Amino acid sequence: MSTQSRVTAIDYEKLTAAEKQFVDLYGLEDLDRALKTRPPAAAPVQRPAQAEPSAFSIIGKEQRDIEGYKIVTGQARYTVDVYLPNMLYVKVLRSPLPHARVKSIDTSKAAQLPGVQAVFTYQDIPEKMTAGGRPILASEVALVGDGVAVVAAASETVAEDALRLIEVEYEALPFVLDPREAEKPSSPLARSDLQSNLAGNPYKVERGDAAAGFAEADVTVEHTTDTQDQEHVAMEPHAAVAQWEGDRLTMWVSSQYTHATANLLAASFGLPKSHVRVIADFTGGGWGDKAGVAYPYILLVSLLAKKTGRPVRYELSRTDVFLETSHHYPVIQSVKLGFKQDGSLTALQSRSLVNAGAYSPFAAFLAADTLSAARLQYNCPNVALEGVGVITNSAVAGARRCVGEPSGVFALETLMDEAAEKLGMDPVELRLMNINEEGDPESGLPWSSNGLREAIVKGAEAFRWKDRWKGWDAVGTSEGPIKRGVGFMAMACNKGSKGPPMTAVVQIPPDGSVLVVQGGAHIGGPQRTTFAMIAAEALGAALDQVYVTTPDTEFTSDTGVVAGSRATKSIGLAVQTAAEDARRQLLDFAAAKFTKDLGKQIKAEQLDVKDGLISIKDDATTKPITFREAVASGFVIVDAQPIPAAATVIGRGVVPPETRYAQQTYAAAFYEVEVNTQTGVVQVVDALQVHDVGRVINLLGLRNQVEGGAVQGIGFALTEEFKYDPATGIPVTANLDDYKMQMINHTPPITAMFIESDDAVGPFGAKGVGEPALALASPAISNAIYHAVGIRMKSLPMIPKKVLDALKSTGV
Amino acid sequence: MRSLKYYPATSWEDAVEALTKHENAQVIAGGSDLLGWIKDDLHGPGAPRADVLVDIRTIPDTSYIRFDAASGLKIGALTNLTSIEESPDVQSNYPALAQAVGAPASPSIRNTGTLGGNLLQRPRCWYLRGREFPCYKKGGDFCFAVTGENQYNAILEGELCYIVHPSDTAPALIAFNATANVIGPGGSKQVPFTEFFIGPRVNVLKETVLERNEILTEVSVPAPAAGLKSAFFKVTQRDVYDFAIVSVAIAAQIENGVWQDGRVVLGGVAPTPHQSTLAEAALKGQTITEAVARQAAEQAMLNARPMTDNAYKVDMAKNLIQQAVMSLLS
Repeated sequence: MSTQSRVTAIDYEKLTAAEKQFVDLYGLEDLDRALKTRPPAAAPVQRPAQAEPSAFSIIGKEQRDIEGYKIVTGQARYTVDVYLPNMLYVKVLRSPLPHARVKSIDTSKAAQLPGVQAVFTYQDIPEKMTAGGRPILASEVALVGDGVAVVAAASETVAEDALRLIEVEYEALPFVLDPREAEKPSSPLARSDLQSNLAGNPYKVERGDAAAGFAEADVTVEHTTDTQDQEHVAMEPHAAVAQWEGDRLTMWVSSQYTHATANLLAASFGLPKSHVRVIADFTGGGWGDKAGVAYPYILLVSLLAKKTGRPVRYELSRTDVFLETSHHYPVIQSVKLGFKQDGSLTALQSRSLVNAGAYSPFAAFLAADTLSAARLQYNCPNVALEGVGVITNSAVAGARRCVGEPSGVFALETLMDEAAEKLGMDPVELRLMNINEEGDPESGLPWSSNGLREAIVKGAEAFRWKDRWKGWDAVGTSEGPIKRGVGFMAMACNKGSKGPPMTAVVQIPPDGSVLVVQGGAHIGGPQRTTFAMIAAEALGAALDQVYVTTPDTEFTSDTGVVAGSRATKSIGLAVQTAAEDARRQLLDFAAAKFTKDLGKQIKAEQLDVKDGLISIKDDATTKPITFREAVASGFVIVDAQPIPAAATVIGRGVVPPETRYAQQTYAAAFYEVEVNTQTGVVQVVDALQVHDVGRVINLLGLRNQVEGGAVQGIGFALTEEFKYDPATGIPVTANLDDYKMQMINHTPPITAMFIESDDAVGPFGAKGVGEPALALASPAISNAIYHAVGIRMKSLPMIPKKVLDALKSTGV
Repeated sequence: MRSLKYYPATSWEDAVEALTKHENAQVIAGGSDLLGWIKDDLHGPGAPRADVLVDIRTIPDTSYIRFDAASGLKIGALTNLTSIEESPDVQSNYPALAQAVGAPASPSIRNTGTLGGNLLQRPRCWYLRGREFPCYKKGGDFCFAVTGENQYNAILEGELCYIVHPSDTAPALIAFNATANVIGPGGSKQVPFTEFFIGPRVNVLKETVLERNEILTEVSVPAPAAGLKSAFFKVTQRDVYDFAIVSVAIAAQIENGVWQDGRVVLGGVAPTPHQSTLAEAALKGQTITEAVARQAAEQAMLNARPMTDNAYKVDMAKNLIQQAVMSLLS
């Protein structure tokens, strides 16, 4: 077909290793396209010229969520809205002990309760079936909340009544909650299948010679911070409904990544993936907690549905969510920094100890993520980093918005503030002196964009930093019991990148409408609106021509998780690529039609598309045609002959992994707080977050992301903490009374500012933003508290108790 | 939630009879605390699971606010908190009570929650509210807070059990010298709120004098004396939906800046609303100054016995009392 781009001759043997790997995965054709459309790796990094905003007709505007009307009127179907005829309801009996062996379990009374259809214990789970290494129902429990039995019944009430009839005898085993204890060889093992509580090998980075770097430092600062367990608390609780039809399994699940769940189910039940269908029309928030994680409940509903032959539904209660699903993990992080008197960094050392919880499939990644800012944010010749994850009898560690980086930047950026004072420098100047604007020092790759300097400088201007900060001498000088202070931080964040898999299809049926077929979740971003805008811009379609599919593995391909701030950049690139492919085909059809209608040769290159109309450039007299006219009367060129083909245009978007650039997203924050020295209550009164987003796609969605992130970040900073009773290992805040989320009337005005650094990789230069939005508040608030009252808060959350205790110990 | 029997009462007498008849019956009004308690399946030897809910919302004429300058204020136990907060009579005659009824939880809870329910809600101790902790209050033989997480627990009057009383309205009503009207099998009786709440040393299994088949029907508050000033302050971690770390209610007659007579009542510091007679004594007859207010605050905390993690509450309570006393002058 003429619409396919021609492959230029590529000598496979001359390709780099990364390119070969790519070709093996995706084929020569895509490499050819990638090489043609992107600058080569050897090219010097030049900021691409900023496209004029007027060059875009769709992106950059404030666009309300296309699906918003359905959501606010209750028409959108979430998993918790799925009720099927003849359905059964599930409740799980959870362990009350942090570590124990099930000595005996008697479910006979429960099974006899009218309405109960099935009761399972670990003995009913197929051998070797686990939820990513975690038992689906445990014979040895490793945290409070591990399931030991499950009931499927005609109603939730019956299922709950049945749970109380199950008799379990436990043999309590020694347990450990504190990662500092768990790390010691003398610690009890958190699980009897472990040789040691260490979760894999420590993550280590060494560049230069840290000892020598500290030796040549004029000023050295060091401290240890601790950050807490934060739960995601998505508005929609975790839920799944499973239904078998013969050997086909369909699941509705509240999810950020349906394909991962489909893969899990296919592997667990020995099915081809084509026999598993996973659907998540709408998902009520996730923040990493629903990022395709293999939770026991997903397999339980599937097993119970198979056993009973009926649809089975499990909507986790809020307590179930707290106990079963993953949490942001506690981190104890020490940082040491060495500086020359002029403020330049000579050495950076950091060690983080990560509480990976009872089961963590990727503790090394979790530990590494806490050290990302320390590794990459500043130029420093001598760096020594170590990240250690330990298994304990507490909540499973997982990804929560920005994963380990909020803990890492809290440790780093509060110490940078302390260093600035010791150096007698403006903290803004200290950052500007040291930020790494070149690239990843380990891979040698340049950044695909870097707007950190601009974010800091423009933010400081907008906040009137110099006027409000007034210098180190001004610390704690305000009158009265309520003290005001301002704080600043900067961040280079490893999220928001392009990464595989990235696939999408754009279809234009003969009626001229546009269907974007993609599997990314709609979790509030609003992601599908972003994809629609990207598709419309790339195609030249009007926005209301475009519909974007919901995630359904039956007809969408795997395009990766909506998490890690990757949706806009990665899925957006797939959508853009597919839309560009569809556009090429569309223009070929249009050119054929114009050629036929006008009786003269019109080539696709002569055409222009905007707002759904295709016109001939520099030809005002010929009437533009619609997509419908182009597609419905389109021709395909076969053997140099035009063949009429009233066919659907199918644009293909398969995007290669990034090999030429290292990618980051950047932010700076300026916060003002009031510290009540009589009550210890800290109130944020002003918050400015400046984010380098590469390119604004949807200004409204972007502001929502930043404001939502800031609210979660303020909660992380000031109130939220999942805690345990140390003596028994039982959680004490597994409910929304005692686990204190931020409330809207405790939320300050949040100003979001954006830097458009025109990323060399992302769609139209865009990159992600949702994750760093959470990370900024806590160091900025801690630094502002110091400015207000002269105490350094190093432990999150900064609750009144800690503030009053700190004030008392310093005699303020 | 598990299955329960539901009994809509037609009169106070009917409700009392239902409670007498069913051993594990409980009264439900707004339900904002009780339903959470049931959903969390909290129980123990001294706290049996409810199997019957006796609904008193179905009893006529139980929600009202009646004020008379001579006889004072009468509030039906089922009156929701929002109505009381918005009552002009309450606002102008008992300003600290209006503030206190506006302090709990959130607007939606205050629309549902009743005055009776706010006074009779169970404490919020992490261990009492944890199903797996068989603490004294559930009939067990241990206080987990002593060895555990006690940052919000009692600094005063703890014994066996170190819960704190969660109600915002109770300190205010005690400050205004209010009385409870209680109905039981033997008929109605009046109980001053100073005698209504009982600590763990009296009976660790409950927080009030009410027997399980007695019901709070009405709250009456004496007419405000001339020159009565009042204040209510509450410290929380977040602005809404939070129980007091420390609260203080004060109602006092002030003449020319001199404290004639009055009450200082603290919430969040002791197993019952804590009337600080020591602070009151320090204030009586004194011209109110920062020093006098501070002295009263120090006196209020004279017998404080903080636990491992809650010494900060002593400082917080002192600061709050001083602030509240000084606010009476404005």
